[in-house]
Amino acid sequence: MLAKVSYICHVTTIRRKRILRLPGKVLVRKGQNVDGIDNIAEGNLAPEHVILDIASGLGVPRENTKLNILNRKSAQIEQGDIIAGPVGTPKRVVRSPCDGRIVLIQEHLVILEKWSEPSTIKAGLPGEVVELVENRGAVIETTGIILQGVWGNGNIASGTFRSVPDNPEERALDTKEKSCQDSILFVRQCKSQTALAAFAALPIHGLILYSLAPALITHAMQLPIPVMVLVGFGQLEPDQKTLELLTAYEEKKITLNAESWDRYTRNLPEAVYPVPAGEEEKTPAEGAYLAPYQQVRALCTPHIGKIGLIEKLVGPDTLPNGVRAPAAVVRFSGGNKACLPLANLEIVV
Amino acid sequence: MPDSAQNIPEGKKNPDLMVDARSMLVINVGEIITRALLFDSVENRYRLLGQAAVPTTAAAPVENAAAGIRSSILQLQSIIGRRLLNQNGTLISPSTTDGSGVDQVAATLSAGPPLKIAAAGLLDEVSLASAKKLARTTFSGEMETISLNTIKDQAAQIDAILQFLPDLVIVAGGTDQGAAQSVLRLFETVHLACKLIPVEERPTVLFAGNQNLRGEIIDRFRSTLDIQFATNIRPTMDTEDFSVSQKKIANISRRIQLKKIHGLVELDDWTNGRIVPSSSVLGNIIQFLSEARTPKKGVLGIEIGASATTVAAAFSGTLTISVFPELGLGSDLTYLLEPETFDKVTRWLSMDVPVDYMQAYILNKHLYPSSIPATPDDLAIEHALTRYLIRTAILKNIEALSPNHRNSGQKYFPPVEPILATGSVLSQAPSKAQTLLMLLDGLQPVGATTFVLDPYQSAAALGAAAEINPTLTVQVLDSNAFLHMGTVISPVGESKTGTPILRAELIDGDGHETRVEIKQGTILSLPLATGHTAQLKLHPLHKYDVGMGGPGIGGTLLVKGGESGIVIDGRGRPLTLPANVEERYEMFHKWLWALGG
Repeated sequence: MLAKVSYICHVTTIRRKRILRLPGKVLVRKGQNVDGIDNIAEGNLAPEHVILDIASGLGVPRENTKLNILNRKSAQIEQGDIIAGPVGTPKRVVRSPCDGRIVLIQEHLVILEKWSEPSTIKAGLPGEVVELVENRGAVIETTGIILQGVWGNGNIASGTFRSVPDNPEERALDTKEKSCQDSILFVRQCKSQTALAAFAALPIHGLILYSLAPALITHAMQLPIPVMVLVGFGQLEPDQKTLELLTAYEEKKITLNAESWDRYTRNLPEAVYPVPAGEEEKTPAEGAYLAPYQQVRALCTPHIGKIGLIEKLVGPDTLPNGVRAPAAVVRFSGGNKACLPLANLEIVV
Repeated sequence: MPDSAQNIPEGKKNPDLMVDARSMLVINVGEIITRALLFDSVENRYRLLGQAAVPTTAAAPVENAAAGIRSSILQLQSIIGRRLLNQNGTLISPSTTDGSGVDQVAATLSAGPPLKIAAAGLLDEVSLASAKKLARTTFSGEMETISLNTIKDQAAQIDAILQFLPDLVIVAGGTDQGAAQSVLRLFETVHLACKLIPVEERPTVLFAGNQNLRGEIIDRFRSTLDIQFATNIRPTMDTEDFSVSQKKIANISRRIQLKKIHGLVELDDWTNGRIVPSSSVLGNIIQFLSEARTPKKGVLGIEIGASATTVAAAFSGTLTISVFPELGLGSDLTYLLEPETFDKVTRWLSMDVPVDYMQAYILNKHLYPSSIPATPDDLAIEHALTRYLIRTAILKNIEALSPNHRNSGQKYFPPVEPILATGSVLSQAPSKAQTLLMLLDGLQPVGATTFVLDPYQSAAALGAAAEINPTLTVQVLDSNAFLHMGTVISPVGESKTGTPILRAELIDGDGHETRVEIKQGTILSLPLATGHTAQLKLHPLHKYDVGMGGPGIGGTLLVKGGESGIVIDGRGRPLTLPANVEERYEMFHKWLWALGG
């Protein structure tokens, strides 16, 4: 049975394409080293247009209009600039109603794109620009440890990874008094909107949550800092093995790119901690066959999020609800075992 | 498929005669899995010889579907012990005397995101409505719409198109001989917007409006736009015609995905340019079955997939297909968590499940769409969700049917037979009674019908094969690759719960008679094993309609047995669930028990 591979603590070469959805201006050059929060490209991603009917503005036949248009495509225009004319004795002209640029001259029509503050796209991870994508962005590459999540609120930041040990809702204020400045906090449980708001009020740069209650999604989306969910939705008990693996990030400066998960592009929210090149581990394919001794994570209740080792594969087994499916016996930390359907396992490295 | 496969359309006869048996390789490039299936003749009948599945490599990090395709064929080779690729990795075709290779290749494609379609029409309720309906016939996501009676001015409409960046724009409007200038103005808006998009990213434009404008549209816009033409989807104000446009859009969809997904050129070459979007193949097979049947009834197919629910219905060979990406079991169903909608889902629960647990399950299912329910709670959620998704899809599809096939004012689907159902949630249910009950609750058929389940999910492959080798499709449909669930009689009428509504008499091949009286609000099953036939005499009471010619009209049917035997569903149409939660749970258990548990 094929299973998806997820990264929780894996040293690998990471290559990410970061591009604008509409053409804009690339702000980096090939070979340049960038930080995760550096802007890679900028552009107007929600352009507004104004259509000027030059023929009717000048009072001339449509076929004669083009001769009277003074500017060319791409010309930058300020409000009040003359775009066409003067024509006739009253010296009729057509002026631009706004700042912007001419993007199209189509027969008797001139289309202006209104000026607006450009949107930017950030690198998302620290690394080297290895390829430029014309008018769109760049490909960034680095060697690092990668931690992948399942949900993100779309923001990016860098900071020092720190775990909140336990019982976070009570400790939140203590943490504030101590050294959470510039941190990206890993929080085991965040049960209420109050707790989430308390964390967001801290001088932190980001949040990594083991799980997120469905009712808090809207609130997490509205936070200005990046929020990444590691395992799934619900109030899930953190798994000991996961906590052990995450100690590798403790006090390390990471970049958290909490971009939205996209099932089609396979874009995932992720945190990256760069390490020197040459330390890369063998990277498994995106999908791999489940086999004994593989480290896997359960994707469904009652063991969702728990990491364990496959002890053996078993043929179709009848689950407590009567569903029959190929399964595996998985041994979790602490020695507990469970027989889980293969479809509910992913390989974690 | 016992009923329908016996009656083969002209030109597709004779399924038993295989003068020129040809092996066929079917490749299904899915979103997550690429499958290779090999069909060949065994003892003068086509059979599925084997299938292999590997991860699809269309997305990052490989970003080339060819690797997955090749890998699936290599794995298939090792499973069936037959060489399909030569040493250079080239497909061996046609097959050789030593048994290597294949004669024909078919392929389906569902990798890649849903198409982004913008629909443009003159009037919201007329041509725009038809354009939106046409967009629904392929795997398309959110939609942008443009019409003349919108409050947006031309510049705002251009902004909307640029913001949306569609793959395809459907322009409809104007009956033939009808509106011209307004249609051209609409086309001009689309044209201006497209000119602001870089050439290599410009959408294809499908014009399916006033046919008199074709020449002018070609003259004015074809130099800058990729324009495709289909016949008018709204030739008159009161009629719709998707016969040409539906095929056209499937072909455009294929072309767009070929451009977007690297590594499909060779596969396209193997299939002679006939890679079929997966969204179309269910339609192919339903249309195929429809052509094989008497024109009285339609044929219905439903697929509950991870990324979409697809409903295909054909009446006398005329196909209506609707693809609902927002109704996939693994789709982003966050919108269901809105209290009002959530109630509509939870009413299908057969046991008590905490609200927050159910909400989390629905969201996690989107993250892990291939996961299966492992606890009784999870199964109850998934089955409730399935009922809701089927119900919503079928109600939406009723709106898409042509007025000729719609029961005016009725919220039930017109009589169809058979109903072909596919999807792992159906085939993986612990019992076939659960599968059938999910389908009955969701579809709520009327009259007499039969249910056929696709337990191995081979319908897509057969749909792709249907155009190239119909005999193969017929014979595999007729094999045990499909499961006959049983015959279902659903009387329609009005009376109080507990009122006798139908008397039925089943006389099996040995002359044994079973007589039952069905009361309003009940469901029961009469045992009749798969492969057995019997006579079923129906005597409706209180002018109930059992689909034999009108209210109160009964008669005798020759029925075939199946997993659930002969089911008489007297629960009413539409099915009303008890308002009290405990009563509802009890009712679900009673119904399931009545069908065999």
